[in-house]
Amino acid sequence: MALLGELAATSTSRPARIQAGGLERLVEEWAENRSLSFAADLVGAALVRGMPERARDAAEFIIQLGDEAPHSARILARTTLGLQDPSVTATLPPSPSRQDLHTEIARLRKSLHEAPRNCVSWVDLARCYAVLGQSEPATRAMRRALALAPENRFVLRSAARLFIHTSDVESAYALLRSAPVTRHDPWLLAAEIAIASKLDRTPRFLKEGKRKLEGDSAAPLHLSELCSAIATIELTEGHTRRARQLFRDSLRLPNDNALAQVQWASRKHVGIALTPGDLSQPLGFEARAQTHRSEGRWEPALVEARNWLYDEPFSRHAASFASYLAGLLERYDEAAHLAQIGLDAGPRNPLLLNNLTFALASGGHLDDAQRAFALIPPHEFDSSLRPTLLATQGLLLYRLGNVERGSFLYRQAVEEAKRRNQPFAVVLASLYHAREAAIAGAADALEVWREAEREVEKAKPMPELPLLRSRHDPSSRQS
Amino acid sequence: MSSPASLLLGVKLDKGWIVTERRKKLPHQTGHYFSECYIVVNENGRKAFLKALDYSRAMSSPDPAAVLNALTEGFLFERNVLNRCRGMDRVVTGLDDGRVIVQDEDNRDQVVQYLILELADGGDVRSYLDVSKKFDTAWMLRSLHHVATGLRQLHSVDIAHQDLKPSNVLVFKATLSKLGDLGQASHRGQTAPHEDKEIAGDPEYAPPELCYHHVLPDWNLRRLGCDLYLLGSLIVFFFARSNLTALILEKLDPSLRPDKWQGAYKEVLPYVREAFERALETFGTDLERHAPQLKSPLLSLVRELCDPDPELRGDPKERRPGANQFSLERYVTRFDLLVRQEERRILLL
Repeated sequence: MALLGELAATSTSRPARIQAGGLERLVEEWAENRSLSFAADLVGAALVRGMPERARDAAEFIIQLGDEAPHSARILARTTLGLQDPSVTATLPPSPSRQDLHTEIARLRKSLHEAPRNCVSWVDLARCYAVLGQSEPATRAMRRALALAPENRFVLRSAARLFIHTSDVESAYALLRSAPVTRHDPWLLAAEIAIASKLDRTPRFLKEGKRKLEGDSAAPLHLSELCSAIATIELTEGHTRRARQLFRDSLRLPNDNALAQVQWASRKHVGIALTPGDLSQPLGFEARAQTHRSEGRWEPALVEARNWLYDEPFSRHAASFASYLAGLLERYDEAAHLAQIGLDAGPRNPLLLNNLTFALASGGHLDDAQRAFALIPPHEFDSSLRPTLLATQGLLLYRLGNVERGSFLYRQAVEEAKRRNQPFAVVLASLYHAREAAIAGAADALEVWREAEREVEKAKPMPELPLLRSRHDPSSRQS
Repeated sequence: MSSPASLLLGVKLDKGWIVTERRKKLPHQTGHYFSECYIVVNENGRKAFLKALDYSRAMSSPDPAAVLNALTEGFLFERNVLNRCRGMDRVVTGLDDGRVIVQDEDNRDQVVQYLILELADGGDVRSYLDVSKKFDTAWMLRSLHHVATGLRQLHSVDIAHQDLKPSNVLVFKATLSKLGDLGQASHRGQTAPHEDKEIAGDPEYAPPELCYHHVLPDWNLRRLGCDLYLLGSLIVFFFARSNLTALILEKLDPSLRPDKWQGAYKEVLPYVREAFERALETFGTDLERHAPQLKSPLLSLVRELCDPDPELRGDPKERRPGANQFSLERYVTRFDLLVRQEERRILLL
């Protein structure tokens, strides 16, 4: 986040002043005393003053000492010579395993035992627990961070994100609404407005947010997410022109959230499109994944979706999207793995359980697939997911050899999708039905394929269609 | 035309001091208002260090009255501080002060005022740290004990050193360390010439809150809190040859560093604290390698002395009503204990 400037101050409280110091004296002393302490003294001072060039040969001297010089001194020497990235290094790999997470939790707990006031570590601990699906310790850790720094932007946003992840959106909203600092901070205003929209409420600080956009001299990066949050409100209220302008403003120096929001808006035909330049933002994984998907570039879409999931391992959206893409590309083992990452953080998520079932069944792991499917809470079969779940159930039955029942469920899935006005689900269910009928060697396989073709022809263009048609066309299977 | 202060070689001063050698002003002897430095010897053969004040430079400046005023204030302030420190056995103190009349090149009488201070026969601690081929933990701890004692002595008379750094830890007879250079000190209730500087000492060693221009109005928090940080910083220099402030800044994202940060200190403090903990981890690596038996106590000391929040600095046991949060009593005791334990351990090896 520090890379994106999210942690940076938005306002100026004082001008920078440089006070003269003793650097010249240290340079002279080093010239007269070519030994470790004098070299190290100069290196440290030069770095603090932001003048590493004054200590280059002292730094080289320290490096040449190798192991004779202390580890800390060598780090500062390498920094002086530009040999080491001075930014904070991650202690977790990009795609941490459960073991990695447990190791990191142990490290953080030990560190916090010595330094219990380190709120950043409490947030990191909360995140690790969240990725493991342990909501209660995650929440406890986050509450410790909030107690230590109740007005810190990073802590507040992290806490809101966690509460949303644990399906406690009300708490997330209450937190931001009640924090005195929210009305003054564009990042927190953006979060409050976005969460209010999720809850279908009028944001408390919408006016403050709009005022901030009109009058604030903060850098575009600080206003980007706020612009896109307000733009979304304007769009839902039908003020398309105003929304379009705000989305464009948010692209001046977008962060990943703003980028994803603009990407979403571009799919709503607001009259805005992301350029390659917009998408080059370092952590814009979600936006890039969605853009690749919308343009039918499946391999790059999967790469970006993976990155998105590794960056946000407790994001259900990232996991379901990534596992969906992997399944689309028939990489069933990977699809199962990606769904499982999401399930580690949210064990009962029905869409992820569905995706996992699909991947396992398609990959021939029928027992595991049945176990996963059995975990889906029964009430989800009455939700908007019903068509998807019926289709997946149909797939399972086909693979278990029950062709008639499988076919019935697929047809039910299509009808349900039509009834609920889910055209994408209609097409997907139809095409996968055709696939299963062909694989099973069903007598009506050709008829099922023709039904699917009819649904495809009726449907609006979708990026998946060419790929799925080419995959499931019986004539291509025969060849 | 030579300045009068440069004409002291061979001159006999009051109380038997003779000026025997002219010295390039040593880096650890600041006092920017002094122009010349000498070695003096008394009748007993004791050597000392002389700093000579030269008013003639004021006359050639654009604003002679202002410069005269600054020179006088600076001289008087340091003389007063040195007088307050007489008898402190862990602080380089003044031995004498006075005035002498010398004749310039035109045979006119010129007055030169001077201060005479203890002379460190061994230079500063950096030379000693490098001379020893082995990692002499007992020596380092003893030196730190002396430094803590010296600070305690200063604090007991309401003086904060403000400029404690490796070059100001002077070594006497290879075994005794003393705090040198009180030129940037702060004396509670007195206004020093450098009072308006945000960072009294060298900014290269300043605690993080001062790097971010977070200047607290309370004298204890600002001045004593700074001294505690500088003491803890010395521990890191002794055992890892590293500047703690540099280590902290190195762990911070560039956008959060003092030169880029434009907000208030309390907003950046959580990230500074995280960077501080990472800096301690790095320091801990060196302790693990060279002095594993000292890792836990030294990390505790640095953590307490150098807390990025000055309001939390100091021994937690002193954070009670009526106590002095910045008291060095316990730290002097802790260093003493560590010295004894380390000496015993080494004897048993």
